[in-house]
Amino acid sequence: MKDFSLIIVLCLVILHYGCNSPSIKNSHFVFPSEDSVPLAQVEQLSEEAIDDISRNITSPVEIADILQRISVPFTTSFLASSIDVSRQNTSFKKALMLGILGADLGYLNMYEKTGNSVDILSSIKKLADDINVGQFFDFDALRRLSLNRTNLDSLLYLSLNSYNQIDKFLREKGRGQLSALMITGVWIEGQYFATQVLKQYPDTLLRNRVGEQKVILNDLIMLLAPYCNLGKEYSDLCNDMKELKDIYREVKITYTIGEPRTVEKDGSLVVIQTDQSRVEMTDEQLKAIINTTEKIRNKLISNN
Amino acid sequence: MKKLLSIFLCSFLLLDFLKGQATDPLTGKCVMNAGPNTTYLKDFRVQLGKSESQNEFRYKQVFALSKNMKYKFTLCNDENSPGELIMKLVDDTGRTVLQSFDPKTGKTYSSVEFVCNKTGTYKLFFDFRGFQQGLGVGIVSLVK
Repeated sequence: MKDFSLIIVLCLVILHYGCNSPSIKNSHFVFPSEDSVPLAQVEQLSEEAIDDISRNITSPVEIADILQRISVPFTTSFLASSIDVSRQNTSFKKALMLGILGADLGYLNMYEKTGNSVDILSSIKKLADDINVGQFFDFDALRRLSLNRTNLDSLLYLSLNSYNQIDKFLREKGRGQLSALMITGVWIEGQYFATQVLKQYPDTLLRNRVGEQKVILNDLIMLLAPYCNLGKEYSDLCNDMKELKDIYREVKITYTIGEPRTVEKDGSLVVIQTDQSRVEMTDEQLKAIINTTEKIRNKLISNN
Repeated sequence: MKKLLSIFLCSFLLLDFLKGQATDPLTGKCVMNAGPNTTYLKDFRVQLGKSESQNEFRYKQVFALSKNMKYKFTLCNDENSPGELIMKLVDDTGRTVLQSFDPKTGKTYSSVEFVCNKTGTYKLFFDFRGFQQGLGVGIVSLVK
């Protein structure tokens, strides 16, 4: 009887841990079989080549920074609010939507619309849990910071850091295709923000930023390339991204070389790059980029 | 029964340990060091042993930087780290754009701001001064 009581107590303690610790509840990882891609099945890029591909998941934050600098007001019309996370039935869709909603979260947080981010956080939580990466989000802390607007820097740090950790974890665990999808989702949503704003605010800074995405898009396509033959969903996405790349082909980016200027300011070093990149993009090219970006992004979020 | 109890207790200790790993105090501290007018973008945790070769920086990461943005690189060392974290930034042509130390004077900086005028993929190299053993964190932030 004494032993039985002890087991009951221990079970209650386990239940307590299970219910109250979001950071550990997925510490026992069981990956869906479709997540595991045997190495022989993917067209392998060399490890060094993959390491040389930028995995920048912060571009929406940078785009939101530009939008604020050029005084573009906040609008909910850019957000992918039509996504029904309960209808995302494959890891492909879940990872892509995780990226798209991550970009939306960054946009909301940069504009301090943190009250709106609570709904998005719930969707992110479900998607992250479904692909067994929920342990990297401290949702209770994120929700608390969202509702209480006093510590915006912490909110931005916590959310971006979670995405960085997920990316690293997925790659380390041989689930690079999900990481590539998440990063693609983040990028396409950031690109969507920028191009939609350009339709109403033809700002040179933003226009150049969209033109410069030619460089980033090439990286992204290299990142996706090993997985393009994994099924129809993957090949469709790769084809869509290649269609956008074809439009970017005629956009010219030229460079002039200069020596960096270095100054010391308040004990800190400030380096000013004097190299310049210059974008040459016609109105027709820009229009095609805007339309194709919109088509790809809306196709991704309507397929649910 | 005692064996079973020991297993349960060990499991709880492990769970508590894992829970503690969710946020890294050194990274959090370094984000704070970046200053109030910055937005965190990415962190790199660097842990290296002492190097015999003393030639090339051993920790490399790739990061896309954009024109017309001002970035800040903040470097922090663990309090028990023998080596001091240093970094350099190299562009896609292989040119060193910035470094957190002055090779002539030996002076090191714990933060470097970078006014970027060329969008592209850059390589971030980290090591410890004198190729010592060390533990540190590098933070990339956006300056508002």
